[in-house]
Amino acid sequence: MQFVIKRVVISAILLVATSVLIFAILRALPGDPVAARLGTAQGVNQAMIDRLRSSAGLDRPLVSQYFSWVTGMAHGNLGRSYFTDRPVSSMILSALGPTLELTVLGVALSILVAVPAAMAAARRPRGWLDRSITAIASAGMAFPPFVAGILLIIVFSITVHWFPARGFIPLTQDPVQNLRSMILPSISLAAGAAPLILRYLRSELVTALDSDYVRTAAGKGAPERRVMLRHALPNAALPSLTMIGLITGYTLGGSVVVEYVFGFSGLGALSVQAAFRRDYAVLQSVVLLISALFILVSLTVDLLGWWLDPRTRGHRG
Amino acid sequence: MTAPVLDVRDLQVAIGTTPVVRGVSFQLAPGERLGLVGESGSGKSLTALSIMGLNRDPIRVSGGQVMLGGTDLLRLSRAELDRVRGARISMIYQDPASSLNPLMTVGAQIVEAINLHDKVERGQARARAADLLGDVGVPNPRQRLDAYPHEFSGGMRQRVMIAIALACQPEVLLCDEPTTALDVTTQSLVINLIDRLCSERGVATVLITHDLGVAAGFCDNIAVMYAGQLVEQSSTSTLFASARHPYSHALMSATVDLGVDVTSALPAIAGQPPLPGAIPQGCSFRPRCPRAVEACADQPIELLPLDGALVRCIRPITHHPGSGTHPGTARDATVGPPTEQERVPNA
Repeated sequence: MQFVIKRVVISAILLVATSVLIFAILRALPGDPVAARLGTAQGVNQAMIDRLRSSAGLDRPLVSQYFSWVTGMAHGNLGRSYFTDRPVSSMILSALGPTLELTVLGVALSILVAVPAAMAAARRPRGWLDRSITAIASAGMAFPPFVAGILLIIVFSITVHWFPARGFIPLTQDPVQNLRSMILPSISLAAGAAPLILRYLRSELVTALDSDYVRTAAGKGAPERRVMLRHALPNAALPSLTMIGLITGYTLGGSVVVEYVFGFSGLGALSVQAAFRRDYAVLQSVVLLISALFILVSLTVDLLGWWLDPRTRGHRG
Repeated sequence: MTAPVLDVRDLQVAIGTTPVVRGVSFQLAPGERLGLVGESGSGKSLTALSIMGLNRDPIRVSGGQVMLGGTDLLRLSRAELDRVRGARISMIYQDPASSLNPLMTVGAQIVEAINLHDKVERGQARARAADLLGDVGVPNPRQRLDAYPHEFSGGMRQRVMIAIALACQPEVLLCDEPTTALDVTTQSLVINLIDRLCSERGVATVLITHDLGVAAGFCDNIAVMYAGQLVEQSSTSTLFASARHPYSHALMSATVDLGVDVTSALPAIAGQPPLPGAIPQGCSFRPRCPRAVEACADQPIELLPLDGALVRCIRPITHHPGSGTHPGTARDATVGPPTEQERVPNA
């Protein structure tokens, strides 16, 4: 139980520290949101600039700006875009859907591919199957998600027209079209993420298959399949959970890029746009949201591992 | 003589291409207890693991037969072997701490051992598991079924391992240093438990140990291993009274001096056992043997019958009082003709 409290407290501290860091870094960057908004507009005078600055609260001390951002967050109010004047919360909300769906599908696909492949590879370490799978995994890892995405578009959208090249159809609007539009982006993400899970799980499986309890299971007369699924896999999956947490974070970052390639208006597109416009109000909240999701996923995965392992969960019986 | 339950014939095991078990043969009669003793690295554990087919790459059996009843275990497919292991032949391992799956309750692990060979319904399997846990002396067996291995002490974990091994009433039980990882007070409890359960159930047992005190108390017969070969095999009493091979004699003498009830590791013998792959020509013990002569290097030495025992030596110790030819012969030697000519190789 102590572990749970400690882990939650650390996550909370991490979240606060991240918010300070994001705020500070964005303010330290060169460029000014008001100047970016006005751009090359004619007839701009100082009074107009001052009015815009104060309406956005940019004339107040940085500490007070930080606290109004944080307290606003607690009420679900993230302020308004410096550029479009739309509420940041609604901009984020509409962009969150595609990103989350893409991340979830990308991670799910990665696990679905990595787990059986890792089991096949670990059966005979350094055998031909292991070598082939590891080689394919290394090749997959060598492609950054956006390169994989572009290649997939060229092959499956432009050449054979199986899947749409661009665009996102919300799940609520048309589930079938939604999934069709998600297939290529998910594969682009999984191409990088699945090999990471695979390599880690494979080495954990090799260790587990070499362990005394696996020998005990075989000595009882358990068939190879049962030894793998019942004894080796759970023991190998437990330490791999942390890895899957990290990879979800990686995938979240990757989906920002992949969205851009496939023309989704997700968090990726939103943050790139906000960065060019020096729209701190939007950018700081988007970056914090992505960081918060990452922290949340790591926390969840660690707590899950803690709960699944009888040695840490606490004594019974 | 009744047919042996286990008949190991010329078992050869290699790590890669290096032989580590070099032609081990022994028979195990129903209900018999055979001790397999020797220094670490002599191939005792590999012999047992090979009998069970539990070797891992790059260790593999390179020859011989392991006859269990009428079947050669070395010729079985994995699926056929799975029907035999745990059902007719079982094994207890050295380290109970790592030999149980940490993520499964001990109940689930015992039930698994039952269900793999005996498809009984859930409640019945659980009841049997509880009975087994009670039989091996775990208190509150019903409640303890739901506990995890880390909630047991080392001795209790080894008891769980014994319950798993005996779950399907095997004919043969291989015990690979079952008490080495346990503390001294628990060691004798666990050995006594194995002793009692095997007697009650008529299970033939091979006990691998480097603890001669344990072997003396438990075994009917003892086989001494050195550098992957049996060098002497005889009844326990004969071996302790009059070991013929210089190696086993050196082992016995130090232990007997202390008294067999003292749990003691093998006494130090000058020199090192040979490394696999660098085993000397002729007798493998020759470089460390106080009785070695040039002839010992000439050709491989056969394991031959001698006074009801089997000895692999061309100059076996003949026990006569007061002979001080090498350390340890002074005490328990018996009168006997001091010549090698009495040995008539009849192989």
